[in-house]
Amino acid sequence: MAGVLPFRQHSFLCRVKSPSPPFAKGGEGGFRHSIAALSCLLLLSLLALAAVTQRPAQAQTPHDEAEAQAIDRMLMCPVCPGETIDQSQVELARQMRLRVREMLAQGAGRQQVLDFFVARYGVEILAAPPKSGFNLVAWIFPALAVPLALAGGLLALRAMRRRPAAELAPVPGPDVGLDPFLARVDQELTVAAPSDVPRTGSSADG
Amino acid sequence: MAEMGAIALWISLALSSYALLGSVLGQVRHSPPLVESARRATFLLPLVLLVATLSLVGAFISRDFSVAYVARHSSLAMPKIYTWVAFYAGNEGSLLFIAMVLAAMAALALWLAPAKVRDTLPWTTAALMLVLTFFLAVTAVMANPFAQLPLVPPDGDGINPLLTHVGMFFHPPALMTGLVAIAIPTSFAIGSMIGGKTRDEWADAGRVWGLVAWVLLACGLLLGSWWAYTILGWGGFWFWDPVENAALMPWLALTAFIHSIMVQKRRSMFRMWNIVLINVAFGLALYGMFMNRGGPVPSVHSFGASTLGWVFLLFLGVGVVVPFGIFFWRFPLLKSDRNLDSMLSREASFLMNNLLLLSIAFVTLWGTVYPLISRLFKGQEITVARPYYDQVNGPLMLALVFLMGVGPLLPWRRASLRGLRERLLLPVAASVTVLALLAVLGVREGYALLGFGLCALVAASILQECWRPTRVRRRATGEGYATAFLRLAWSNRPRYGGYLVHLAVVMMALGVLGGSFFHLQRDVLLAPGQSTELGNYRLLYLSTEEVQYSDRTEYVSTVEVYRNDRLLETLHPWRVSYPAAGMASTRAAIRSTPVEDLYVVPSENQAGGTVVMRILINPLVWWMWVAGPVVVMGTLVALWPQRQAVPSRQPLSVPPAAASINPARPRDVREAG
Repeated sequence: MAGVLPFRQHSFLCRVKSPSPPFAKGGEGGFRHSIAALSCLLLLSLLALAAVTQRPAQAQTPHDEAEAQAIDRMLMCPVCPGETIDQSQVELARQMRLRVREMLAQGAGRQQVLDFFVARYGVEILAAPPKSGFNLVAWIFPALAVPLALAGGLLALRAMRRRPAAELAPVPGPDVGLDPFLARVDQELTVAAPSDVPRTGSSADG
Repeated sequence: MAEMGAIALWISLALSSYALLGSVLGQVRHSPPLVESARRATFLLPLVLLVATLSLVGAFISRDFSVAYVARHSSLAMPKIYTWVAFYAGNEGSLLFIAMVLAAMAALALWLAPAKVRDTLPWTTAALMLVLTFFLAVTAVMANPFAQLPLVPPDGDGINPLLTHVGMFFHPPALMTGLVAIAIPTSFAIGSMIGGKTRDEWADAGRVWGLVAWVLLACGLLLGSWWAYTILGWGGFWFWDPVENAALMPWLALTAFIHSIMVQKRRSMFRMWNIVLINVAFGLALYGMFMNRGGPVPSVHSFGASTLGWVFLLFLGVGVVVPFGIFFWRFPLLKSDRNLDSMLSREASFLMNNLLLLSIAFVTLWGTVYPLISRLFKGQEITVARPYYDQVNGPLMLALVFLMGVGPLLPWRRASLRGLRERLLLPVAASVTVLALLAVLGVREGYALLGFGLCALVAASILQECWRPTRVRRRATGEGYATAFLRLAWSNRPRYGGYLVHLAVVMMALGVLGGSFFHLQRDVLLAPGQSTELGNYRLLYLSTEEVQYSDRTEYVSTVEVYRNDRLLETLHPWRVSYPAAGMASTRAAIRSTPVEDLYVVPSENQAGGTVVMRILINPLVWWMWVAGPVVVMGTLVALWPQRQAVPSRQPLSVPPAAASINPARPRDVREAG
């Protein structure tokens, strides 16, 4: 019977059993208590069994549901475009979800479950390319390109700083009238305590 | 009706071709009348296209099934309100819709164009008309929505049931309009390059229309996520689906652009970079349209099998090669006038933000094309879906949030380390506090901890940026806090509108973090009268009612939600099956609170009223949807026209006294950000 019980019921029973102190003492009271405890245990087991039989088709066997859901999200549904078996509501996806839970209950690890489905449906069943062989390309590109882009940006900024000032044309247009202001504002900002200086408008008319 | 529409469509194609040729020839042969005539043709176009649009709408309303498109996308049973949705439910109608909004926006953009770009406007017109002519030609020749059927069927096929949702009234049009709106800032950039006006003339118009496209895409993306959340029935809202990505990538590039264009407006820098950014955004938008219509990767959203793929691929090629060709041709003219003053400045932080945004866009692009690469080089089918994007884009997004917290604290030109320290103190303290608090509360997910910490950093830095100047202003003017803050914000709308949008992004980040790291999920089979528990909730399933309609059967379930044995709410999730179409769709019932969503959706109805329910608790997702209106408000504030100062009236020398009291005034008028 114990094998049928989901994991949670087990721990529940254990907790009920352990705190009954008279067991340790033994003696005449002990027997009465243990009878009571045993019948209580029996009752609880029956209740648990009832709960199990009432419980719908899914959690028949002990497995880690969170892990099962994590695996569901890593497997594509073979017959619906762009959906994982976690998302899809077709029959095949439901069977695959059930299979994932069965395998977990039999003690399979995440990788074993994934391998099982890859063997049946090919690598495209995985929602992300495996990090091995040619498919490393998919992962290496972002890992290389992003730092390179950021480094390139920093270099570009440095180059923009270093450009000799003589090359610069005078700034045309409206900014001629603005620049002295900006310089003054920035000067004040750096001199005064920053918390006391408005960086934006403080004029009365807004 | 349909004949009128077809004629209007052909007339508009002729008009747009004329406007295209007229502007180019008029400019080359120096013929102002020809240019003016072409310009007027662009104003006539929206009207003609409106006729075409209305006649298609009319055909839908009068159930004119002799029109193939109407027969395919509507039926007698379809409620008339869905005419609007059916209009763009297929390739043909959506192309007509795109052409109409592009024509309308182009006319508006040309009409409102600032005086600075007037000289190069004919080239801008030509660029816009080239895009419009493409869409009109495809619509008229290859996907004509007014094509007639030889035999008039008694009833139509009906609308795709997944589309009968409120979100569908706004999500597709917002996305399509947003995608095609990118053509407008791009055309201003191209016009100014061809015309040789390569200083900052186009920056204002580019920024305004860039923002318009940006906010439309943002709304489209959010509405699409909301639609997926309520109707697809798996409890999430974003899946990095190829078509979702196709809309996200140009939006990311546009986000970079609307930041970077501020640098050009304010500091006359990043001239080449802005052109590159807007060209990239345009290219990605075309790529998105290509993916949507006959793209090579399967998706839940696409328009289905379509023969238009190669045409859009061709246009994608032209749309990338031509703008970049012009860019390289004008390269020597595009040098910036200014140096960068310091690596520690707003300018520099904007460039870093741009690079991060582009990185996310390109990593996403890489993910969408990798299956093709694998097929091509290895002959191996590969799927690239959510786990991949979560892993590669997650860190980048966190870095972006970090920059969003620090960047606005950096002043233009040069930051002093002391000032930066002073400004960072409070946000960093807030961030560390939140981190510590969450760690004490037992949050152990490293990513989530970091994410929430960064959200606190951004929120605190924004609040500080609102609070400090308000206090100074209040002290100087004696206004109340509210008045002081509102006047302050109104005097610098681009900056404070931007802050509002940043706050909205923090809200979205909360939703994403909560939904991805802390959700609870359970699939459970329930007979009437049975209950199940998830988190603190107990759900009692009462019954399912079957309602028959002519085209569908609806199964409406009743579920009572209890917490601590107190009835909180009665939910009615439902499922509907369309036997004729062989389709089913679901509508989740969501009890949404700022703390968490309780999400209930029936995924299967069995005999005897037994039902398979999916139940989720999605913490913080509520904030995701609240962020939408905040984004729109923030963008409107940022877009609200600023009074332009007249440059000549400004004093060249600033009296010292005036500068210390009133320096911000002339700066504000122009400053933004």
